Amino acid sequence: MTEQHIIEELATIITPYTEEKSALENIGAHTDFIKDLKINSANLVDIVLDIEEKFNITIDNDSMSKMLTVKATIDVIESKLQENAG
Amino acid sequence: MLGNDIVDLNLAKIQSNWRRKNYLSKIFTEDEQQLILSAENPDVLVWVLWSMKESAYKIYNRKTNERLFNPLAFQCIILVLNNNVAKGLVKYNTLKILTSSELKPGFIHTIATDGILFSKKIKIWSNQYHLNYPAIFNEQITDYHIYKNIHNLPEVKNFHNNLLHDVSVSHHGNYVCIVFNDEPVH
Repeated sequence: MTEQHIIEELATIITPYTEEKSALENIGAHTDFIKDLKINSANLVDIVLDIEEKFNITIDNDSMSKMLTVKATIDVIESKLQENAG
Repeated sequence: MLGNDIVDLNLAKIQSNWRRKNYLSKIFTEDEQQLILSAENPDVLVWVLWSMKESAYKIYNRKTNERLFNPLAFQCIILVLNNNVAKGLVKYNTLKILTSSELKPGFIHTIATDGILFSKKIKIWSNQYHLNYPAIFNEQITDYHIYKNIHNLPEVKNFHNNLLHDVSVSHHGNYVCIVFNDEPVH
């Protein structure tokens, strides 16, 4: 799965949790969930759960603690997908 | 240092479904989940514990400049709980934070301090949320001035002597709260 593909999936997952439509349209690796997309921190949990379901992975607490940007989230998804494959 | 967190309960009801599978276990310890599930009003306890963690995290973030999303590691102990208030302690590694929460039908508001006691000098200003809330604060609280510093963090200064005061700002839904210490930063 390419980085661009993961970003597209993330954008779909994030849509219901943000009202910052222009930040969402311009989503990229450096987008910050809280600073740019103004996502409520209680909804970050929903995003983590949605990612687990969508990508069929389990995100441990240490990984979750880093998931404040799109880049960090891609890294977590990629490493979990690799663990699953290996 | 001070932290504070407000939860608009009407918005939380729409925004978050904490009964969703695996939601609680991602952010609450076994003990905290037990407290929630055995509570008379679980909806209230979820947001009391959440605002305790958030307000404590705000102190951690200000102290270390480190950002993280690790609510599970901010462990809550509730010492006093009734229909109007909750008092407790949040532990994160070696950091110990005291919290005091106000429980109202429309909102839950928690103040946190890393002091050994809650100072009587802590002032709370709350208002219905408007984009221009700093201007409203500055108009109403004539001795103090709130503004954002070059790092985009809120600061409060005493008009008369220009001394800085600890401050924490929280906004959710219809509410905005500014908590500051009447005593200047040493």
